[in-house]
Amino acid sequence: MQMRISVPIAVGVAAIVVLLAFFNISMNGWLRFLLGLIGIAGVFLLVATLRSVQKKNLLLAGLRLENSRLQDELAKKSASGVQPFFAAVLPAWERQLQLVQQQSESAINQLTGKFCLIYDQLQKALNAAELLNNGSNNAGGLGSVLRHSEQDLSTLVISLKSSMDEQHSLVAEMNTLTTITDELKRMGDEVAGIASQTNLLALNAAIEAARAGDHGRGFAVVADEVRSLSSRSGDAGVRIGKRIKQINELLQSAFTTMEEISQKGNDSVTVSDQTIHKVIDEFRTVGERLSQASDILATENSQVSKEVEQVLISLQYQDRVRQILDHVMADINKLNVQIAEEKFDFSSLDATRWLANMERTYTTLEQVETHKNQRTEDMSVDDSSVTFF
Amino acid sequence: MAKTVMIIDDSASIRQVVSLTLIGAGYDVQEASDGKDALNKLKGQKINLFISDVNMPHMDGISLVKSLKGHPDYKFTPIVMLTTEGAEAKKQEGQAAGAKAWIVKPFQPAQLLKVVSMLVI
Repeated sequence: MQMRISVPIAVGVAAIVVLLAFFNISMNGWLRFLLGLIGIAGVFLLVATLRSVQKKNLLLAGLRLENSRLQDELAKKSASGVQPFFAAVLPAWERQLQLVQQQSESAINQLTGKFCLIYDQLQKALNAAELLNNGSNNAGGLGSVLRHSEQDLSTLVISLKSSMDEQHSLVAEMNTLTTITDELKRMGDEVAGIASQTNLLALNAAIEAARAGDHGRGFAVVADEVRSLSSRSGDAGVRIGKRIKQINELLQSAFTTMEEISQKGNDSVTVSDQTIHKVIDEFRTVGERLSQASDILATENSQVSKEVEQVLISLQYQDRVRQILDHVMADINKLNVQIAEEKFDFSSLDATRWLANMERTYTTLEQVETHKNQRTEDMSVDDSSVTFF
Repeated sequence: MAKTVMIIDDSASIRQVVSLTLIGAGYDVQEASDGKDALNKLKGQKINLFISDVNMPHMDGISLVKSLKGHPDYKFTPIVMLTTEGAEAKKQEGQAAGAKAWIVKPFQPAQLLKVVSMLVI
């Protein structure tokens, strides 16, 4: 453009210079003419510049218009391209999330069921162990049964001992009986001796009666009778002695047998007593081992039970996950419904308003915290999570 | 005679854990999956305490509390809300409806038992 202006100006100035030289104009006139020329050239230059600026502005406005038209066209094109994309993708996202929700819910429900069963069985085992251990001090417990058995068996041994004591006194009485029979034997011997002496006296009486002749005949009869009686007394004394000897032998034999029986009874009572104590001690040892094993089992069970309880608490996360997924799916669905409208304008989507609405509809505090991109605290359980009205 | 507690929650796992906890402590337990299911299952039977979730399909927990408070058989039966909702506004809504306590999930079995034993009639 400058070239176009400068060339006519240069040609014009050169033509005027030649013309002036040809007509021999004075210096003063020349200068005035030169100034006039410069003025004319300035005016030309100004006019040309203004026209150039006007043209540029027109061109710029045209370009702007074109740009705006192109942008509109582009937006329309992109919106019509994005809408089918979201219409296809959003339900797919929703379906996948639904699948996650269903699968996790089903798995967690099963897990919870199994853990509940384990927890229940552990509780039953704990109760059984507790019954066995605490039962040691209560009726029906192992310790109690052992104590009662020991008492009963001790009573039995005492009863046996008492029976043996009675046997001893019987043996002692039999011993006394032997003494009596000895005395009886002596008495028998004494009877035999008296009979012998009586016989001798009767014999003397008979001799004296014979010497008295007829006067002594009656006395001789008496003396014979006395001798006969003494002989019989002597026989009786001997028989008594023999019988007593027999009795004495029998008593001695019975006494020996009784003593043997008594000794065996004593031994048997001692063995019974020892056996009973041994058996009870063995039972007690086994019982104590059982009780210790049961204690260990109870402690382990209690520990496992606590762990299972913690697992069950942790599994409650499923409820939270379900609610969070529900919320996300509902939001995706809401967007899907909106863009499915025929004349949906994407520019009407307002992220701030959308997010504010999301925040308003959250159900858990952790959702709100996550929304604000804050660190979500571990959902620990404490008393502060309970409010009484 | 054992006291009866009804647990209303749409989460089967929560119902199972609550049932296990309460049965273990000697309570009888009735289960319902939402407010509507609970009202259908009541049929005039004696309930000593309700434990209800808040967000449930068909009928939510707050509506259930309102229904129970208007029911001649259950208007004096205590209700404990057991929910993931921790917002103060929701708690106030529960209190206004007539709930006696608000427990935020996840719960500790011992803690639940404590609340139940304090409120059960």
